[in-house]
Amino acid sequence: MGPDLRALLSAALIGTERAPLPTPGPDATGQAAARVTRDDPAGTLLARAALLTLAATAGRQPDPPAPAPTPAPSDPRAEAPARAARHLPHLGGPLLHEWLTLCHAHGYRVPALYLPRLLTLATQDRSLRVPLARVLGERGRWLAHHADSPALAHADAPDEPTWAALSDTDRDTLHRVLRALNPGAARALLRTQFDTERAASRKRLLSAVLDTLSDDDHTLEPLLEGALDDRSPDVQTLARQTLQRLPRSALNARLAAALHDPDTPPSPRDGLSGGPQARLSHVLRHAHPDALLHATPGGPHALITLARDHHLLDDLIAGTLTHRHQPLAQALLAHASTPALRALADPARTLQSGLHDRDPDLILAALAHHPTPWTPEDSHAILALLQDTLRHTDHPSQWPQRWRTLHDHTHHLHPDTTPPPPLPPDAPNHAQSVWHDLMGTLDTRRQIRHDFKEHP
Amino acid sequence: MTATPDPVLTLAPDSSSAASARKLATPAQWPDLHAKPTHLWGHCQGSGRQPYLTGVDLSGPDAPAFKCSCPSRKFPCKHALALLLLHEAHPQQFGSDPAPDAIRKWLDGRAAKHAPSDSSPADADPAGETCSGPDPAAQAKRRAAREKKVSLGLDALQTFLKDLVRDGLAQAAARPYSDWDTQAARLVDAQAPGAARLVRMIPEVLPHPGRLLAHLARLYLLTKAWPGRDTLSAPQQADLRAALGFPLDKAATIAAGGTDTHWLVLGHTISDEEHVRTRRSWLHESGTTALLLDFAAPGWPLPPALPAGKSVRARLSPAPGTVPQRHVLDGEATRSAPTPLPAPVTLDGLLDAHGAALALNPWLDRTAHHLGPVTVHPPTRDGDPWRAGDARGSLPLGGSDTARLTLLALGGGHPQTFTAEWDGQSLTPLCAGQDGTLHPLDEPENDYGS
Repeated sequence: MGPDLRALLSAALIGTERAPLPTPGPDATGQAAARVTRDDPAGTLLARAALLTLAATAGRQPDPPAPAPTPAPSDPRAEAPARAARHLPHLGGPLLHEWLTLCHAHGYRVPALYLPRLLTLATQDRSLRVPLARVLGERGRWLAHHADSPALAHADAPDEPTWAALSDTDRDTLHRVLRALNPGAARALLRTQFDTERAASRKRLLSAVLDTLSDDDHTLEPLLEGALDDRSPDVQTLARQTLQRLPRSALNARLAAALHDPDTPPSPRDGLSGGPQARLSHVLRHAHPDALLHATPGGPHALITLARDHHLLDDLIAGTLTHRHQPLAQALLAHASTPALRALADPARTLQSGLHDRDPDLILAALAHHPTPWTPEDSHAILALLQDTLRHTDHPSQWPQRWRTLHDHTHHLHPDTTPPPPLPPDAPNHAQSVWHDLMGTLDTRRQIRHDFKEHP
Repeated sequence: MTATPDPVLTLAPDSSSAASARKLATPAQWPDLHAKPTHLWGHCQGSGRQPYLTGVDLSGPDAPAFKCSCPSRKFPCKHALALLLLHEAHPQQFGSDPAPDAIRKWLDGRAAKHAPSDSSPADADPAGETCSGPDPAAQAKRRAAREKKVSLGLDALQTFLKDLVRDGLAQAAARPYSDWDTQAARLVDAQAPGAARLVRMIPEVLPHPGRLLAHLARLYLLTKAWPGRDTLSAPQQADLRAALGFPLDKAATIAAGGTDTHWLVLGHTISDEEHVRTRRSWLHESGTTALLLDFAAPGWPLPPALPAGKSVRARLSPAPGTVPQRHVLDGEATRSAPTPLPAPVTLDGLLDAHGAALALNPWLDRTAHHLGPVTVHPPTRDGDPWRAGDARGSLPLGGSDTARLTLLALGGGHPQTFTAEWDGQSLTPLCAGQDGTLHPLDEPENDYGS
């Protein structure tokens, strides 16, 4: 705003009744304004302001240069081909998850055009963050920094000030992303930051470790042992659960030692409290079966006998299921043939039994141990069964809950599944609608896979 | 909500229809799909036992038009939208069977309705645009009556503006909102809706004294120009009338002639005001930037938008005025082969062009440009604006977060080109330039999903 316009504004704010009209300056616009007069000061002020604002707008120069952003680093990976990317604007939920996974599997990154939308979706849906982080590429991480998604802006452990500036949620996200992209950096980050975090944040960090535990996490054992003495009971519990899931951990060794030594003193830190029976129950339910079997010379049979003799077979079964220990599950089948144990012991045969007996519980239990996507043959059989149970359904509530649960898992169907014949034309409206949605989704997934494969 | 908006989904009446249409847009859901140059039809297996019969008429001035046997009250329904989406994504899946009777009759009816008629009445759109009436004498009489009303309204407005300045603008913020509303209502009664719109905007600028004075000065200029309109040239009078909200005589504009050629759609912006939603579509051809305006009443969808970033063949007629900016579409626009992008201008070039236009028409609101090479600068501190900058300086970059981030994503911090609307305060990005083509940056038209 020039001096003449500023003077006019001052007079206008006070009012021409109390403030005199300013004298225009000597420059060209000022002199032009001086020639503009009206019958009264208010009119003159407005007319001169009109002239000067128009002159200022028409003669506007660019503002001073702004600080240039650091350009995005170059990307070694190519953008996903346009044919595959064309699906992106229409995808959400499991389909988007699948697209991102395929993009990663084919070695592409997300095209820049779609990055803002995906970053926004990832702020709303935490399950998308890790799969998206894998395919952001350098451009995406650079953009995440500017898009208020700092947790997705790193592929390495951040420096101290950056970490300190993150919220608890962002720290959790960043830690999970690093565990997927760069597990070594994630473990190093945890060792550096864990002790200084607030309890809620320590809990989140340990939850991420537990959710994505791998054998390499044995190197975190000293940290986890330390966390058994944490001020927060929740953190203690999570550390204990994590150590129990690491077969060669010292905690498991201590629990296994207690298995055959009833005189082992109580150790609340290890979860061993109460009388000898309670402590034995805890060991059977929580210790890793590998550690228990290692400490039991007679193998699974001896371990089962021990548990049965103490009336603690249920605890051993629970522990076997928690740790998904297939050999022990197979040995336990002779003593308790529950659907869950059958599914763990032999998922393939259990699935076939479930399909044959039309038993959704058995099918679901078996599928929990099947790799995804399910095989085309299994997928076809599941689809046929779903269709058959759906055939006469005229309302969502008429379809039993367990079948609806199985339907909720149909994003694991193999995209190349041969679909059963369509529903008969006299099938109820609801059945038709559910079936056509299912077929439509399968068709889209098939198309997406095809589009990625077409451009290897 | 999507990064590359599909123009088809801009027709959706709401976000759920758009989402459902996306879901249905897979050939597996359609036992029958057929396309002719003027229409599409197909059977969609919906929730009913019998498939729904869906048709889309691609011809006629109001195209696309829709018909579907489904019971949905939404219009267009998800099936009709899905049919259009399918035709875009999977044209090879369409056969060419003749349409069933139900669709045929509907198409014939529409064709008959759009056949030229000798007695087409004057009609009006929500913004008051008119087609010429047949009686020049009656028109002149109506015009004189209107001008008298406008004169009275603007006299009163001038008095109001002077009172504001006499009392001091510092007091203006303390005035009740009803003051502005009352003044705006009087101008509506005086048939000067353009001036009423500017009065309604005053509360927005009250917290910014500099902008407030500029805004009031602009209104004052209108009130002073109107009594002296006879001293203005015909194009200047047209500018003044447009600024005051006089309706454009579309038929006369079209009759005055236009250019039938290939236009590049630079993009769209939409603004919502109290009683009308306005879409501005910017097109470019050989140095001419044309503005098309579409209006919709509250709750009604805008007509289908021209495809942002694409080329269309269309006959556009310029409205009278000193700057040939606003145009009227004569007939239909059809997609055409890509046309080259206009040469980009620097920030200086943009400001020069805008200033030159303002020098001719002081009431001009906005101009559109293909800018570049410029770099997008995200803010370095909270509260700072985004900016677009080149070697000479920078300008504030407005628009939606998605649009700005998409520009930034595409540019990667390097110089780039994009089309933008400049309103004297900030740039609103429209499309990003990439590899010789333009990509729309925002959700278009109907703000489904937002």
